[in-house]
Amino acid sequence: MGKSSKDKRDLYYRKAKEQGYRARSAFKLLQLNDQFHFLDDPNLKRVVDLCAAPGSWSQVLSRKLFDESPSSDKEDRKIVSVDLQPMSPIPHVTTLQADITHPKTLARILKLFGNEKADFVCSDGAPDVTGLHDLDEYVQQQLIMSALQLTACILKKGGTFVAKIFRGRDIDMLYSQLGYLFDKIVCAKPRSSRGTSLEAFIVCLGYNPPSNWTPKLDVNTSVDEFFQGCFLNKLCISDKLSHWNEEERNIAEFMACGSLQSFDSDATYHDLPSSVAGTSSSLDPVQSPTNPPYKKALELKRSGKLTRSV
Amino acid sequence: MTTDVQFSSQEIELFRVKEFLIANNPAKINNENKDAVLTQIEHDFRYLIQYIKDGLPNLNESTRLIFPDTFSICLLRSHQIIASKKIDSQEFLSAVKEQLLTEANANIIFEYVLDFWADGGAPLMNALRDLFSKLLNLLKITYPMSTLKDVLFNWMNEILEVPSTLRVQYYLIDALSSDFDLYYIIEKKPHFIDNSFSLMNSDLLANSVGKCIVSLLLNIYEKHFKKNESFVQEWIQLWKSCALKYIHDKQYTKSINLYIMIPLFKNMPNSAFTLFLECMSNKDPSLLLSLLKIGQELGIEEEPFCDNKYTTVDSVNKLIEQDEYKLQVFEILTFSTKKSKPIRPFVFKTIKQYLYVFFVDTELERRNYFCSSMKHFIFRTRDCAYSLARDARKLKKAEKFPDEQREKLAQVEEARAFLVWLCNFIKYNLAPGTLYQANVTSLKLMHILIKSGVDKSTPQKFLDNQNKREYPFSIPILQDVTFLRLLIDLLVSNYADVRELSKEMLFIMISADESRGLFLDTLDANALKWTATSLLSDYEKGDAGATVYEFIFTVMGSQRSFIDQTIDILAQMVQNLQNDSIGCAENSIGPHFAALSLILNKFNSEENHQDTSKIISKLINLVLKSWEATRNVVCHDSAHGILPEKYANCGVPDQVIISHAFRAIKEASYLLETILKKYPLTRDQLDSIGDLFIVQLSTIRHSGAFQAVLPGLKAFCIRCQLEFPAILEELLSKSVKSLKSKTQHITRRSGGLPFLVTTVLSAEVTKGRPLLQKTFENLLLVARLPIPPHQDEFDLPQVNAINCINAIFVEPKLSVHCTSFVSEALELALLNFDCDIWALRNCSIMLFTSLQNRIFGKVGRSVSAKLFFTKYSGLRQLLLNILNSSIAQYSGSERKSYQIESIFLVLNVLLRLRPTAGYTGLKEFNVSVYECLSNENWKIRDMASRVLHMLSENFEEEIRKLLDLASIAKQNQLHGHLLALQQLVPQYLSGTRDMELIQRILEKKRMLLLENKCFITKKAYLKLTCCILETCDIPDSILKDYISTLRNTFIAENNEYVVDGSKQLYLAQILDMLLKYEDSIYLDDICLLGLYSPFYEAQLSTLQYMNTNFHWETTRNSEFLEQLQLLLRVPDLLPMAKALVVKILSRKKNTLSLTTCTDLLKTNNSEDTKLAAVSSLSAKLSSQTFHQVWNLLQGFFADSCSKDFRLASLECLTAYPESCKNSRILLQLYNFLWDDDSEIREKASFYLNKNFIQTADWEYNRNTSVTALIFTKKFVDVFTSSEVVEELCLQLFQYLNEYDMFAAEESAKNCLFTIEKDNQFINELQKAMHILNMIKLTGRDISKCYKDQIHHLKSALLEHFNTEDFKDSPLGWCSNAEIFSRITLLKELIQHYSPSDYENFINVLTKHSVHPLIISYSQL
Repeated sequence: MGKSSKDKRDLYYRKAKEQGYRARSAFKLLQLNDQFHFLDDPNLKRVVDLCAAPGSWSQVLSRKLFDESPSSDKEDRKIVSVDLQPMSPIPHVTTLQADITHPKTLARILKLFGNEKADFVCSDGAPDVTGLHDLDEYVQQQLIMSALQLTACILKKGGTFVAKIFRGRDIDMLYSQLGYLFDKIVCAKPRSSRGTSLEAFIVCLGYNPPSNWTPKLDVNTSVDEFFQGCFLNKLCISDKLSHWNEEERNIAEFMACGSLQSFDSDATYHDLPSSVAGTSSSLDPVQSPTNPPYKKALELKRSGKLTRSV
Repeated sequence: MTTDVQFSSQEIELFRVKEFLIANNPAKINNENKDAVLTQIEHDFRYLIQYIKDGLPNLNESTRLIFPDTFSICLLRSHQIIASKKIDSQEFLSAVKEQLLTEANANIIFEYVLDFWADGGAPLMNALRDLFSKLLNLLKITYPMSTLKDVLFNWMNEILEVPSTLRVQYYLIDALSSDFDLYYIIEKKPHFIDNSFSLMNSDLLANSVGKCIVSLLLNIYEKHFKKNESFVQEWIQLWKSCALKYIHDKQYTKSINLYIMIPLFKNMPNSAFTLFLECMSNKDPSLLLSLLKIGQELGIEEEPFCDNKYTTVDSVNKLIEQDEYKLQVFEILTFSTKKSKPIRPFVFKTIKQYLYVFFVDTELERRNYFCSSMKHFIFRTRDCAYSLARDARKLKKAEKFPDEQREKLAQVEEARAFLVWLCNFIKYNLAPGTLYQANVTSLKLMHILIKSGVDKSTPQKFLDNQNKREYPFSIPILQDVTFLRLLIDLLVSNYADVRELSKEMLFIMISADESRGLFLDTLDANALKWTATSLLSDYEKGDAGATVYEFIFTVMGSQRSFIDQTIDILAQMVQNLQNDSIGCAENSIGPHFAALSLILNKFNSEENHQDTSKIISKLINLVLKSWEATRNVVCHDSAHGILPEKYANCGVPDQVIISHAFRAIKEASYLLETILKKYPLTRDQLDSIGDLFIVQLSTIRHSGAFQAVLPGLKAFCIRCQLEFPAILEELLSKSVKSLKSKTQHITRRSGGLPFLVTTVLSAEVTKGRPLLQKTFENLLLVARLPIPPHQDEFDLPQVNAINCINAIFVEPKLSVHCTSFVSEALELALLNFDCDIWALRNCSIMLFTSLQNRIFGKVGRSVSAKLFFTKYSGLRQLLLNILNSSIAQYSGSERKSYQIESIFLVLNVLLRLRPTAGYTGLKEFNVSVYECLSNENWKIRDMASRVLHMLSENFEEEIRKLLDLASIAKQNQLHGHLLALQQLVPQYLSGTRDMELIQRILEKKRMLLLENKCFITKKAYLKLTCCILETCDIPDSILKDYISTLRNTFIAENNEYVVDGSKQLYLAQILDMLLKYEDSIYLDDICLLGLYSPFYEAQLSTLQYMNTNFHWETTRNSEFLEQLQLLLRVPDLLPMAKALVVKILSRKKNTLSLTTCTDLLKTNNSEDTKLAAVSSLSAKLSSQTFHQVWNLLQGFFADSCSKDFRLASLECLTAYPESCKNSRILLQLYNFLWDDDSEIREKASFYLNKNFIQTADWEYNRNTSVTALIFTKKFVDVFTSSEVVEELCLQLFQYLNEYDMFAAEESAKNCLFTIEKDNQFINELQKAMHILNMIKLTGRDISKCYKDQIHHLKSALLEHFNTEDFKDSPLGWCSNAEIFSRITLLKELIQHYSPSDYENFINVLTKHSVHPLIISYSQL
């Protein structure tokens, strides 16, 4: 609706009121779903909404999983909404007034899910916004990390995590952090999110934690400690491009605050691995090649010799 | 820190000098004290000069103004003494000449002014300007002319070297303009004028630059061209091209006109303006109009539109059709410096023809501008009619010139006819279903008409007293039954401003003696009351109901009993709610309070003095009772739900219960506000109201509710301040006590407590604000209380106190009075960042933010470091200590993560500081900032990199240092350094081409790209080099060498898939660079590699590149096609990638089949993908596929579709080359002219004007309503076939039939919000009339086909009238817009296609008192 509406507030405010949502933010989740369809999966059964109050995202989840779902089998579907603030009840939603960082909360959710893991976790929480963008981004990232800790413990492999972020000058850090745990990370700004705000949403698809890492919530553990040991050495690269590829690499630790010091050791990195050491001298990439290698790479790609093996 | 100001000895001496100079003005100097006073002044003069020479020691923020002020007075006194005839000042004059104001000393003062002007705020600048002008005056009477000229010449040369962005240059040139021939400025600096014009877009500079240019140009005309008019042309040539170059730009137009053109032409001969217009080669309409306006206002060109002088009447009409020019044209058309000047007939004609374009404006600013212009025109019409009638009368009396008499009377009649037409036009724009913008404009114009006295029955008190003059005629607006009906109907408008304006007009009508009968005849008070009561019970329409209640109260006689009845009803409702909180949760207590509040505002308490106190006492009791009945809902605090347990599963939604409770509290508070503002109250009553506010603000947990209480509290405080100021003090002490003792869980922002404190303090009027000072000190005491360990409660007294302090700084009324507390508050905020308790850290951060906003103003503004640290002494050390200790703690073994917040905040302050030349106070921060660059927190590294950029004075040195220290062994440090280099290098290289440095950076590739294992630092390095490549021209050999490294790296790394977000970003970055800098022959290969990439970010980058740069002209088309089509089928392809694939494919003919598009639209795809598919449909439109594509598109035309889909479907239609030959497409484009979104309307209008109506290119942007009207005529010129008429009739009758006029209105239960129509722009009746008009214009008789339908509709209506014994009334059946428009349309259809029934039909409508506007409605 245009400028002539009686409410000077925006379209989504009115639409939310008209459609009975508690806040306009409901449309953000709906629009993210229109893009990524994470709520349209007929197999979606267990869903967690973190920092849920006043509950508009839970309302969307309830309508998507129950009211609008064509599936006849809805009995084992469960939505759990967690917030420190109390919330009005929402049909088909179990609300927990609890702290998302506390292990007890995790236990309560798992109990509600019959010790099954969740298919989808979302969080629309945000701190008091100061307007000092750097600070707001930082506090928001801390909040996301708290949500991510719980998510890491409760999300099934292949599951989806959606969270609010403040998109500042450089979201690379968040992208890099989450990029160790999910196959795809996309930063999206739904139309209903005001253009003037830094708000955006990070949609993390395909939860894929390192196989030998077991996340464990503990009140006495810091975020850094929680993610320690989140090595990604399960990934093995079997195909190599003719020259100068190294062996399976040591892969970085999860960067809880964006620290890069895991790459600290000179000894490990200065020398190329032994298998390619012999060829390294003939492969000075600084030297201009006489024949650019694109063709060769493409041919290999076409013939299927450069394939992804995970 | 302390609030007691300690002055230095120098400051004390300055105070003394100032006092002495003020005390000793020349009038007080006599022979007895002369020697002593003059000696002292000489002494002080010397002291002041020496003070500058000493570098102005010990002047801080609060006292730095004293110096220029004192020196100004000293120079003034010296001037006065020398100029005084009373005093023998010969000796003093020679002292000034030879010792005090020597050339060297004058230069010192000048240098001081120049230096300090640059960095000062407005007060300092004013003081310096004053000082400079006093200096000039003194110099003029002490120096011989030749010496003076030399001195000033030297100064002028120095001024011209000042950077052009500093205002001081312009002020000083302006100040010197009366003493010099400034032509030499243009000789010395030929670009001075151009450069100055280029700065006119800056708000900060426009005024001073404008003044300077005007002074300069006038000076040149006067002193260089000796005011010789024959040189005007030459004079114009000096600046014309500069003015025209910038004035076209909208950012410049207003300020150039205001600050240069107007003052310039005002002070030049009229020929200058005419010559300027004549020599304009480009007649840009906007520019021409703005200049004509200036000429008109200055009285140079009175009627520029007359006699085709500057433009033809036809062009004026075409300009007024365009939103961009309409206001300017209207103003020039209607303006006259002489109000009684006769109005030319073409002016009335043009306004009548185009007035509607001003009634569809959705822009508030433009609407207000129009109303103001129209007001001038209405008053001009009146004044002109008055003088014409008076002149005619005089001529008649003198029995002279009968022809002239007739002509004058005819002109009066023309004015009257215009105003009658205007009244009718206003009525149509108030009809049910008309748009908000039309309603509000009409009501404002109606108000202006009434105030102008157009209706002689208007009571005197409503007339405009400032512009009194009588009309020679009267137009009876106030007795107009149609107006009465329209205004009452608008009392229930959804828009509050429309309700208020209609109410105001109705009160004027009621006050006119002549209108009383009209009210008695037209109104049925009982029916109105019934309507009002039913509106009050509707949550959303409660306000409208209250307005109608107020109206009934005003028109009816027994006001007292009406109040009593309303109070009784309300009392019963409150009682019911107390008895049955669930059954009566949905109540109309709130709206009834609102109604009573409005009524009490109107009630004449002086006439009913005895009754009043009883009423007030009853109402206060009701407010208290209502609070008791609702408080458990808004104050509930429990972990088990948002409402008390008794409401669980009660059948009424929580939101409904809470909303009604909020509403009751809010409206009750407004009622208290009315009572507090208007009625007498006892001390006890005031006490009980005060207690209520304290309880409400300290217990309500929802911000919406306690904010609703604030207006009442504000009125209470103002009242107490006047009658019992002691109450306020008690209230404050109770509040501070309450924040100390509160244990109840409110919110992290302390709920309503800060509002309570700030509202009470805002009411204080005592000088010095003792209450504020005392409260602040109390709050600081509480905030500094020791913090108990291991507590994470929101309601800590310290948290509440800090929140209150924060609120005081945020409140504009208080913040200016607590400047002295800034340092203490800042210290408090900074010291709490490292607190263990989250709630305390949180509120400290909020306080810090408020203080920072107060200190620095807007985000992005920076302050000179020297100025900042001088102003807030002690802060530098505090920031340094906090930064150093936080870094030490954060890096230490027992680090606290929240130390980061401290570091953040210090860095945040440093980011806003600019280094000042010669100031070394920032140097000490450098070491810590370097440490932060290596911090393990990414955000700190990022911020530190920006701070380093701000602090750096020598970029090159800094860059080399950062490069030297970068090593892959320390990744955090490397990252921080690369981030800092990203900031510094581009700026450094933009000023110099340092190839050695560039090579040095690029040579780091081996270490940073090849040996480095960390993708984050690799990407940071890539970004740095990317900045270099973008900023500088790099020799080919170096570029090729670097690109070859990127190429090899990409090929190698693109293939090793790992789950790693940073690698994805890194590869996308490298790909972007390759696509930009690689040899073009390889681009296809790179794109293909990108498409094959297992990394989705690389794939996305490639697709984004291809979307803008790929043209399907490669020999590899088939491979691209195959790969893109393959991607389209990948089930988990990212939605944004898919949309791009569709866009790229749709650019190649026959690649995306209609079936694929249909599938994309019908399956579960993202909005972007579907939009791309809709856009691609234009290529599928052909005569064979028309129906299939049309059916697909139709789904996206509807108002219920999102704007993007409507826009995409519009773009699809306009991209189809055959659109203008297809009547269905054209009609759809016409429908888009009524779309809710302005962008869609404007695009459709542009297309139709360009391609269908085919106007001149500068008219493509005409107003969409004008386009719609022109379209209807053009359309029937081109299309008259029976199919087209059938299509039009289909639309018309579909509209008529789609609403069931006779169905009963449904009232929704639990409804808190009325659903608005998707399209708020369309006037459905007007559009239907357009369509009917098109049908009529085709000349085809549709009566044969549609007679039955018309007859059927008519019969149904008549039957309804008969069976219901129907009688329409204000707020009645026909006030419903849907019904109003359909009956009106039916009437039109009967008149044209069943004329024999018309008279009878009208009689029936009249008999049943149907809305009078329906009967008189005809298209204007």
